[in-house]
Amino acid sequence: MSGYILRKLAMLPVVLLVVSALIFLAVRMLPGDPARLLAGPEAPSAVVARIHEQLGLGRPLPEQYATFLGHAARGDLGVSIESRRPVSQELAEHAPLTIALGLVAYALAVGVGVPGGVLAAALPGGRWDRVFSALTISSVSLPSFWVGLMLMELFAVRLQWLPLMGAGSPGAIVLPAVTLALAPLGLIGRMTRASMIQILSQDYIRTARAKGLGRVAIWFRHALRNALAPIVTIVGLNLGSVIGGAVVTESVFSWPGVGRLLVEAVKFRDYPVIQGVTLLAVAAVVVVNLAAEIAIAILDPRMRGGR
Amino acid sequence: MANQKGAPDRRSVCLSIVSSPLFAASCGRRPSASEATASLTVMQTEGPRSMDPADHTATLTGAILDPMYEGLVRQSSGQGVEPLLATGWTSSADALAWTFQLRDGIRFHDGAKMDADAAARAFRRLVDPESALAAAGKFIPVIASCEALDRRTIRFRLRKPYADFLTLLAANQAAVVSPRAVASGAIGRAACGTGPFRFVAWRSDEYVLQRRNGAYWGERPRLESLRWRWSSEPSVLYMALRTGDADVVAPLSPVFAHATAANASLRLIHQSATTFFWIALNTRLRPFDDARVRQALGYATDRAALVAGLLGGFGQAATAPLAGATPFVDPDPAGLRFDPELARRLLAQAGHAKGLRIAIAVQDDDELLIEALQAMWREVGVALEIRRLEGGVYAQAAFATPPVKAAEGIGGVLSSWSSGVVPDLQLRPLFDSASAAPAGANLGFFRDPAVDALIDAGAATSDPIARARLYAAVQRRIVAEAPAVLLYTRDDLAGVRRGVSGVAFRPGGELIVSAAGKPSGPG
Repeated sequence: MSGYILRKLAMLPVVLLVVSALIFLAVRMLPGDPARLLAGPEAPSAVVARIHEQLGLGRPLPEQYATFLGHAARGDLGVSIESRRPVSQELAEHAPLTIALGLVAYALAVGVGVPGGVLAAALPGGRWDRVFSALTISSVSLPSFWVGLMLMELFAVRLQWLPLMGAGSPGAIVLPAVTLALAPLGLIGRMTRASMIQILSQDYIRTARAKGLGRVAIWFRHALRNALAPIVTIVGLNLGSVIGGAVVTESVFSWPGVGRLLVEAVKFRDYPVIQGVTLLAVAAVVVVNLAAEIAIAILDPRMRGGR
Repeated sequence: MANQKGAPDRRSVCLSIVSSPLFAASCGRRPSASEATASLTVMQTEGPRSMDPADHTATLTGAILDPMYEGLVRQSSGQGVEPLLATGWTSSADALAWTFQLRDGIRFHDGAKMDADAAARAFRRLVDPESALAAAGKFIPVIASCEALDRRTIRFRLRKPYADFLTLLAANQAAVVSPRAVASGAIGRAACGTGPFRFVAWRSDEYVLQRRNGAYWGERPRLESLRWRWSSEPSVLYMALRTGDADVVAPLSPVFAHATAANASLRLIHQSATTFFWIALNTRLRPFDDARVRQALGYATDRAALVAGLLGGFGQAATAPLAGATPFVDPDPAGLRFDPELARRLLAQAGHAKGLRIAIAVQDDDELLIEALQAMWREVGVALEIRRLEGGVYAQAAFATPPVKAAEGIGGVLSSWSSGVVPDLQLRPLFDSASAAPAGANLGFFRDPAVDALIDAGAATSDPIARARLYAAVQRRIVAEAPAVLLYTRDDLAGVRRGVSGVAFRPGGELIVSAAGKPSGPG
């Protein structure tokens, strides 16, 4: 098992290397010149050309990439074109807030989605199942941008229960976390329900019932553990879309995480920051998926050592 | 800096799940209760581009920098200028040499002396192409040199007589910056001027914090601190104003203007027309190489309907190629009337009786405007293809050269411009042949020697009557040649919480809050 984990970990730098090359190219293929955006529409072309040169954007792409790699290997992700601060410093300041937001959102999604799905599967077609279906379908379908604005209008402006925006007070994380949790909540809830329904029809569950075990013990101890593998996989795979959702959510709520940083960076074609944020996101997705695989191996002995 | 006496307490507001020091340090900060009484929060639609006044051209950045910097002169409430760091000035008979006496005993926030040497260095840096400063384009064509004559006197030499030189010096970009902060390279991130507020912190994508400059030479500001925040979502600005998260929001979307005015706890601040909207037509590309087609689009445009429908009445239909608040603007709208019948006739004369297809590039923000035009122009047989582009892509398309625009079939570019109150800073970049893209913002490559000559003459003439005549002539010539569809000027709107006083717009559209006051007590 540890060998398996080590092999997976060893793959991480390779994945990051390949991804960094892709990101590097993709970012530079975006139309739009950072020098022009930095200088603004009133700047004459001579000034734009000078800024272009100062930023080193005139050099051949392979040369720029080699420089970037050399620095990145030493933990130096370059300097932001826009703020002129080291990208690693920007990430260190913004990433913890995104991580906090993501964790709270995930905790909400799992905390509501898994028990909700188990109960829905326990009595399929029942009243709770119908309510839960409506909830999960709408939470996946409603655009988070709109939901965010509606939550702000209701809870911050009209009821004044929660802060409107920013990260300046303890309750401030609630509304963005709820907004961000909606999409994964729907997915996890539906996946839990489907997985549980399948498990609950199996022979060993009937045996457990015949033994006279209580319903709650059957659902949560015997069935859920076996239903968890696909749920954990979904949780891992879904991280990418949660990071994508964080970009929108953070912008709406002025939550100063890496998502908002990325939006600003794309606006101004701040290549080093776009690269830094994207690499960080890729690393997070790879690591979380690895963690999910390990968790599945622990849950399901059949998955261990097979590879 | 943040731990000075009276600095906001760094309350760690983090959740128990993440309590690393890193996270604690990155949490937002809140002013303490006693400070809140004299702290004003202003929210705009975008954050600052730089803390260096010479390295941006954005009105919203100018508003953030204004409390921290001062120039030699400033715009007075009328259309003139008044002394600021300069106490007086004289110009030579040929208007090519300008001498300024500086106020004595002033220091920058970093303690460096604000003297003739520092001021001259700031201006030399501004016009040095090697500095590659974003705002240099406004000043390089005007200022040839700047030198210190003695400790308190500096002299500019101009490349040509420039009637609006004092107004140009009143621009935020012409602020006198600390030579020490420039030398250390820190100025882009940490502002350092002589203004009534000093820089405290700029957290990217979060806020800028400024505190009262205790050693300020002029009138003591009423506020203890200023906090700037931003969100690109207009409805969030309006919500922040209602919750009190912001005391001032600008620019307020016209959509919320009437609701703000009707709300007892809010107040609407409204200044007429400085942001000008126009569509540059590609004069090098068919069908817009024919002036009749360009004129036809103008006659097919119902400007009054655009102002009423899209701006809620908070704007003015264009009467000329200058923003409504600019001096010398031609108020005669005869050439820009709505006459769809005439538009159809002109199109027929130009050989497009059966209709015509065109493509125009716009930014996301201007989508409603271009869709309204699409509907209006359809009435005269013009089928408009909207090329809706993301900001960066749009900037590249807008400033593309004639061959690129021809290859991509870009017939026009919808754009907006805020020149402040200097006619030359709008006419020259937009309509002078030397400003043809990519060199400047003449995005339709308009070339007319008569217009070029009139622009030069207007800029160099100081006699107001002669100037008025020249500017009237150039505006009518541009309207007749129709290199652009001139649309409207949008008013500057801000929402302010009741009780907040002293907030105003400068004629260029910059929000001015350094003299603002706010009643003590919560809220």
